[in-house]
Amino acid sequence: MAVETTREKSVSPWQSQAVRIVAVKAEIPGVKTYRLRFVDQDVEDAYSICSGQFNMLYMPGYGESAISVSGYDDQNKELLQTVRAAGNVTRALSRLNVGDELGLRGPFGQGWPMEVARGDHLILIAGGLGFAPIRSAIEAAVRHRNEFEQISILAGARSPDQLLYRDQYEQWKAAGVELRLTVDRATSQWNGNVGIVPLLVDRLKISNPATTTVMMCGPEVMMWYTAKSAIEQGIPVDRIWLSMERNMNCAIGHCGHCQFGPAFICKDGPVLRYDKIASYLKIKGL
Amino acid sequence: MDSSEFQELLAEHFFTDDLSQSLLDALATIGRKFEMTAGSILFEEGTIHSDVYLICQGTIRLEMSVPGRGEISILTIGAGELLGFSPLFDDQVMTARAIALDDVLAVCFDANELMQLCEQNPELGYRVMKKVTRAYAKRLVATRLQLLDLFAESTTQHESAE
Amino acid sequence: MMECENKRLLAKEGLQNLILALQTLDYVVIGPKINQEAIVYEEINSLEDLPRGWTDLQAAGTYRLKKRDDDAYFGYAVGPRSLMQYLYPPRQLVATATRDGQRWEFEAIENVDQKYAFLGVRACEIAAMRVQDRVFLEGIYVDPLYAKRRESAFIVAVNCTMAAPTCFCTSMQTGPGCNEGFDLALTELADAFVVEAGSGKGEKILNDLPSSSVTAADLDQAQKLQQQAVEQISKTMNPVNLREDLLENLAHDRWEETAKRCLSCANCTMVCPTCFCSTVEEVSDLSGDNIERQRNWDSCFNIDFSYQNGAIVRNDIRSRYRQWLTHKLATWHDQFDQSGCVGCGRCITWCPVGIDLTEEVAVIREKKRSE
Repeated sequence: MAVETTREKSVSPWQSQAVRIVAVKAEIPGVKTYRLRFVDQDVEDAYSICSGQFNMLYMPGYGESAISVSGYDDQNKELLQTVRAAGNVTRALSRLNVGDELGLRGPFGQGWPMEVARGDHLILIAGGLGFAPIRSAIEAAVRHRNEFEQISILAGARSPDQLLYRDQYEQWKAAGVELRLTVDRATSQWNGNVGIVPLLVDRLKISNPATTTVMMCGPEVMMWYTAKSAIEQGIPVDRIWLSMERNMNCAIGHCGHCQFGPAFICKDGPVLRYDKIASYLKIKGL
Repeated sequence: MDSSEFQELLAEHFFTDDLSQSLLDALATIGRKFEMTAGSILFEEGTIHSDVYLICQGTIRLEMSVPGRGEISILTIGAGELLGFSPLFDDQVMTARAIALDDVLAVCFDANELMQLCEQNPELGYRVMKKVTRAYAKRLVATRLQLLDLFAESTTQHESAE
Repeated sequence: MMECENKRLLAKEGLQNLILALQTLDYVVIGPKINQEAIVYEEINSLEDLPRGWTDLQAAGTYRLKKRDDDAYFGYAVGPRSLMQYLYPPRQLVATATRDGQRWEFEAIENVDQKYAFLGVRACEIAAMRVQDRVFLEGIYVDPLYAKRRESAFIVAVNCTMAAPTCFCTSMQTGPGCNEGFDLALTELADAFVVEAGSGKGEKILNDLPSSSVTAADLDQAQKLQQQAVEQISKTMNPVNLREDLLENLAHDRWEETAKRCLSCANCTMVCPTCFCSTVEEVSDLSGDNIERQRNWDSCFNIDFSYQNGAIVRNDIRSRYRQWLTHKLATWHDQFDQSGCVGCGRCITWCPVGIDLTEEVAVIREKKRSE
């Protein structure tokens, strides 16, 4: 019985590509940003990734880890991946050095809806390691600065030394974005905001909520309350986007692990629109 | 202070939402314009301070002193928020030091005068208490979220491959 | 309607010719066989391998084989295995990684060794294959091995002439008659098979088999037997509005109650012909230079299936049972525009504590939005 496949024959979704580490930057304790380049020129030429998408970084023998893209350096063809060493795969990765190789499958997923937000006041909100996928949105937004009415970055971390990408703040501000930071626990040297991320949203002057888009990534509880603050500011529920996270294994919507209600986080997300998932966010243990 | 100046300063402040003109006028009579430059201390922890503030502009840092650890900032407060109201119902001993991080503009009331006004005018009293309670309930939720330490690294480590 | 032209009559022994014909074309023939007191799909070589004269007695949490008083080859409903065992095997090598100095060579497995001919496939099983086609072939990503196996598979379907108490294909509109999705379809009469071709591949094989013409009486008898299957179906589950009925009741008391019975043993997911969850794991040799990426069946009932960032998202049986049932009957619609359930009843039979999803649905619907 012939069964027609609706797709042309293409590379198997299980095919990993070899990438080489060209640079490693220690960000905060336990977190590093790797600059990766494809070993094969043809693969490199064919590859592109959108902000908010992710790759499966493969450490043979350990497994794969889904890591959101933090940036792509077009000039040097370098892929930026910020990774926290948290489990077996990422700990193995953290033991690699410049020149070492690993595998990569990707890109996967729905990224940040930069086109949809064109013309808006764009508010990018990062909580903790959620800054990693937000950074790619910042990169994309800054590259097209004049397409946005205004760009605000709101970032929170556990403590001042846990704020990611500190060395890039001036660069972003110089490109015309507003940056506000907050921490949960201050040190005596910290002179900035103290308190949860939603408070930064509460205090933001939003001149035109109807044409404001919010994109956020962080712990689910933080995102829930941040969305609440955004809605209280009058931002429409269909202009709020969350980057969600669930256990990923295949990244192609076949293994079932990453389901969140009806959504496969790997292919319907990780970026999901608030109004589409609000009712599911409320359910414990979904 | 003058009622129209009162309302103008607090135009975007939730405290004056849904208050009738007569109630606004009543509050204005005890309201004072307050300004402080960056770096100034509004009140010290452990002291008795009888002013309460509706912040219009600026950021204030609240810090508490912990022996051996120094002055720890626990919260920053900004425009549109309340400052110093919690001792209103107690012995007016401030539980934190408040420092202006930038130039502050606020409307302040003497706590005793505010309480007296509320006693005399139950409707005003009810509305003021409702607003204060709501603001502090919100702050309680924010404090709980801070307590949850959401950005902390997970304690157990295991990835799906192994 | 009399469709005599594309139907033929095959003698019972003629089935052996069919098996041989398929083997000659290099098909590995998979058919029903008794193994460990259950009728399962295994490689068969001759008619002798089939469970002739056997039937299955099924109920919630019960499965027994019983001798029939006739010699029917296909006088049973469904067993614990499905074709998924061959089309998307429980263990499958999907990729390899080989180290050469500092370099890594990665290879995805693209080829399959065998093509299968499946004998005895029921309507609900065809429906299940089509449900899985949506998952593995019609999404953004195609599973290359499933695609090849599916494309090369030859399906010899069997129209059910009896039903188990656990069957409810009529409610899900997936059976018991086979209308499409097969290469050949058989209806077993007392002394022969009415055989029908459903594809060019099937027609070709049928033309080369010794067969005779069907009579009106044969067709009538076939019709009556198929109707017998319909009439024997006692279990129902109304699929209309089922998605909403479940998604609007995610906090229903029933989830808690059923969680007390459910063992989270994953049996239901293992026997279900549409469940597709899996996990890819690393298998290394001692040197660490040669890695195999093995994909194994997994289950949403496994406790760490939803493990993430140091915590388990579905950390109690209540959440896991709810996940399984709402995925199967509700969110599957959002994902694949159809139900994930084909009404085969296997999950009811093979649940050690006899949880019946049709009953679960009925209870939730009866007392909607309880506190």
